[in-house]
This record gives sequence, C-alpha cells and structure tokens, in this order.
Amino acid sequence: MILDIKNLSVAFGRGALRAVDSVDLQMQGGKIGIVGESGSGKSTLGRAIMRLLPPTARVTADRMAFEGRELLTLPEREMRAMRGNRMALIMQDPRYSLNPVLPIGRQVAETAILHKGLGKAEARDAAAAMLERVRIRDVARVMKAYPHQISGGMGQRVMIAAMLLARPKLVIADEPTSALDVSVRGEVLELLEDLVVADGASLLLISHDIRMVAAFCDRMVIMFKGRVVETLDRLEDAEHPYTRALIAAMPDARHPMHRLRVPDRSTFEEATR
Amino acid sequence: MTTIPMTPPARKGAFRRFLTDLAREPLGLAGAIVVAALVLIALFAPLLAPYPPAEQSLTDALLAPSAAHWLGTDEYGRDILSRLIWGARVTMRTVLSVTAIVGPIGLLIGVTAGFFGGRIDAVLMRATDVVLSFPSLVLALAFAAAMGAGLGTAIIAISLTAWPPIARLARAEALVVRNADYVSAARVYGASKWRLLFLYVTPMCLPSVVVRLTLNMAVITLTAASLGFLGLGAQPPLPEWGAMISAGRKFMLDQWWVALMPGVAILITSLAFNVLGDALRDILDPRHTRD
Repeated sequence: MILDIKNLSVAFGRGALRAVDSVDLQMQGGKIGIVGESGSGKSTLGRAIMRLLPPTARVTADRMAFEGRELLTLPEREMRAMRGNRMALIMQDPRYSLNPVLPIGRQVAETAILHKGLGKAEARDAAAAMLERVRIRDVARVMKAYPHQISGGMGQRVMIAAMLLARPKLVIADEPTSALDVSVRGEVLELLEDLVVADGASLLLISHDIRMVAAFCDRMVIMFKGRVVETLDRLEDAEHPYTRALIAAMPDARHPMHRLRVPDRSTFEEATR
Repeated sequence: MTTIPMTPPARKGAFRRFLTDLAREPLGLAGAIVVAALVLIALFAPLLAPYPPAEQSLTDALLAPSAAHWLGTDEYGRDILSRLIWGARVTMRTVLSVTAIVGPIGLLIGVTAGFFGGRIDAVLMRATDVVLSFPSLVLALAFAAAMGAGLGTAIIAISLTAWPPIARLARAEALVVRNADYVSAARVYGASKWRLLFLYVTPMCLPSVVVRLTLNMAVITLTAASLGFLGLGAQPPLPEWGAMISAGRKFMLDQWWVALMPGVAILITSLAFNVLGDALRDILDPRHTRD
C-alpha cells in the first residue's frame, strides 16, 4: 500500500470549520484524481500528506501511512528526507514555484544534491539528464537560463524534472496544468504520465477539471466542502448531485448545448448534509 | 558533459546591463561618478594633494583662495584642499567600515527574524526596537565619550545605532518572500530551514538592503562629521571634515573659506550618496521604474 489514510481532518486556527473532514483514501498504485471546486479542500489534502501545512493547521487522522510508515508522528528531519525523495509535489504555477535568482540547472540539481549526496558536477550531470527526460530540447542553454527567461510550459517541465529527479514513489500534482496555456496542457500531462509510469510511481492528480481527470486517472475522488462525496471509476457511474453538477458544468463534445448549466447549490448542499 | 563555471559571463552581462541602466538615470549617474571620484581621491590622496595635510606654515595662515592654495589655508597655514583630499580618506573609511559592519548584521538579524517568525522574531525585533528608540547621535556621543574619542570608536558608535533600520527592512522583505511558492517548492524537495534561509530568502532581500545601505551612507557621512565637529571623531592632526568646520567656525565672518570648504565637501558627498541610492532603487526594484 502506497498511501493509507483513515479519517483525516484538517482545521485552521481556532475555527471549528474543517477544511478537510474525515477523509479516507487508499492508494495501491496507479493514478488517482481528486476533483472538487475551489475551497473543497483538495489542495489542503495534498499538502497535509506532504506535511507542508502552516503551523496554524491542526491535522488529525486515525492513520496516515505512506509505504507503511506513519507520517503524522514522523520527526521533521525524517519527513524532510522523504520529501522530494520518496514523495513529491508539483505545484500549480511554475512562475512562482521556481526560485527567481537561481539558474534552472542549479535548481534541478538541488534534489540530486539534497537526496542523492552527489557532488556539484555530478548533480549537474544528473540535472541535465533529467531535463532531457522532460523533453527540453536545448538543455545546455536552459540550464543556464533563469526562470523568467523560459516559457510557462517549459517552466512546468523544469518543475517536473526537479521533483521527479530522485524518482519518488508518490507524486502529488496540484493542478499541474491550470496555469498553462491550453495548447501545452495535454503535452505536460502526457509527459507526467510517461515519467510516472516509467518510474513505477503513483500519481495523485488534484484538479477541478472532472473530464480531464476522468480521461487521465484510473479512479477519481470527488470532494466537496472538505468531504469525499463519491469515489468513481467511470464518469458514467456518477450518482451524487454534486458530481453530476460538476459534469454538467463542463462542455461535452458528444452532447453540445447552447448554454452550460450553472450548478444549483441548494440541491447538492442538501445531499451532502 | 564538461562542467564550465557559468557565473562569470552571466555576471558580466548583468553588470553591463546595470551600467546601461544607470546611464539612463542622469542624476544617479552623476551621483555614481561623484562617489567613484571620492573613492579614487581617497585612494590616491598622497599623489593628488598638493601639500602634506599636516604641514604648518604660520606665515601663510588664513590665506584666501589663490593660485598657490586653491581653497585657501586654515589658521595654521595648512592647505585646505590637501586636508579635504586626505579627509576624504577618513570619511570613506568611516562610511565603508560602518556599512560593512551594519549590512551583514542587519541583514542576518532581519532575515532570521522574518523567516522563522514566532518567538525568535519577537526577541530579535524587541532588541531592535530598544536600539531604535535611542537617538543615534546621542548614543554615539555617549559611546565615544565612554570609550575615548577616536576614529575607531566613532565607527563602532555609529554602527551600534545604524543596524536597526536595515534589520527592520530585511525582516519585512523576508516576511513576504518566505510565503512565496518557490520557497514551499524548495521545502517540497526537502531543503532544510537553513538552506531555505540562505539560498532562497536572503538573496531576495538583498536589493532593498543594498539600496537602504547606500542611502544610509549619506546619514553616516553626516553623523561622522557631527561627531568630528563635537571633537569625538577622528582626532587632530588627522584631517576630518567635521573637525575642520569646527575649527573654522571661529573665523566664519572674516575667513569664510575655512569653514565653508569642508561643509561643501560634506554636502556634495552626502548628496551623491543619496542620489545614487535613489537611482539604485529605481534600477533594482522594477516596481519603482519611471516611464
């Protein structure tokens, strides 16, 4: 079992409101998508697994085990050895998630230096090889470039290279394509899939785009107001009104319609209660 | 793959870009030229000064500016131009020493406080507040009086009171930067707190600290001159601009040049630092660019 979560809840500050509420999630491998609207707690869930939430967050769980090790009680030092090495998180916007004052090559090499104990020269070679794997054409030039000098799609591929260099077993991708231009989204997703499959890793894809997740993942978990409302293998099996509303809010090539339906909140808020 | 160090060409390009940026700011360029000239004057004082700075000649006392003594002579017949040139050394030494002490200390304290937050922040910032609440000249005076007057104590005394604004500024910057996505991204790939602090947060705080330090140089020049004026800075016969004004005060009405010339030197120096600091802010901080 890669990931075994039982009854995970996250609350912030003194508030009684739970951002993530009694979530169970088991992952054997493969690709799982977490879908929900803004504020449904999907990103918080991803960060809770990495233990990256700010100190004001109160995280409780009956069990939160990664590869059989309980994460909640793990000392920060061991957690740090795990991050980037066994588990990785790919963030939304490469423009903000790359250090603006470090050249790309140096940044990708960070993981190699931190987790593989490589020297500077070896780490640079490893970084160059990894950049090649994410299909960057002019590796030598990109290595020397600074983040503001490359495009968004390239930036996200650099981010993926940095995060996957140590070949982690669990990759959490938090809206990896939403900051990108539509034309490069598919490309980046495909690349992510190829790398994850090649390394035998598991992927937790967090997104609001239910159709994209349905096409891409083996299983999807629908979240609403911090709770898991439904777990599906196929979009057609959707029963919960919230899931249906999400599906109806996206255009479908097979059933073109003049005007998309805006979700009627009262129906599914009732059903969630 | 060969490993060629890539920083030198990049840095050279950046430096050249910096120069072209500076050339677009006429006022800033003028400030930079004046500061550069002052540094050169300080470095080559023995070659540039027409007379030895402490050479007395009582027959030539209090001469008005002339071809032999461009800026006149003081009450002991010492050439004022030569004393100003040698005085540039004293001023530059003070300014650079104070900056070299204050910059790293303020940066370290501020960035640490801002990045770690919580109790560390509270302790460091209360200490900063305590120092900040002292009037700097008074503290420097007390310190110089207690330790004995001299250039060394003046430098330490000014440094004591000059770091808190830098620390405040660095803290404010660190507070913003520590929440940036790329800092969490670095945490995601397992960077330790110290690595985050020095590799990810501190470099982003540097530009504003550099600007602040440059602007600070003007204040340091004035404080050093004030201490000199009060007799608590560099001691005679060392030519110090503030002390020169103090000595010339007695002859203000009849021999105006004795007090005026060092005053002009102080004015030009602090103005140049101010203008340069302003231009640096415009160049280093894209949010301030004029169109």
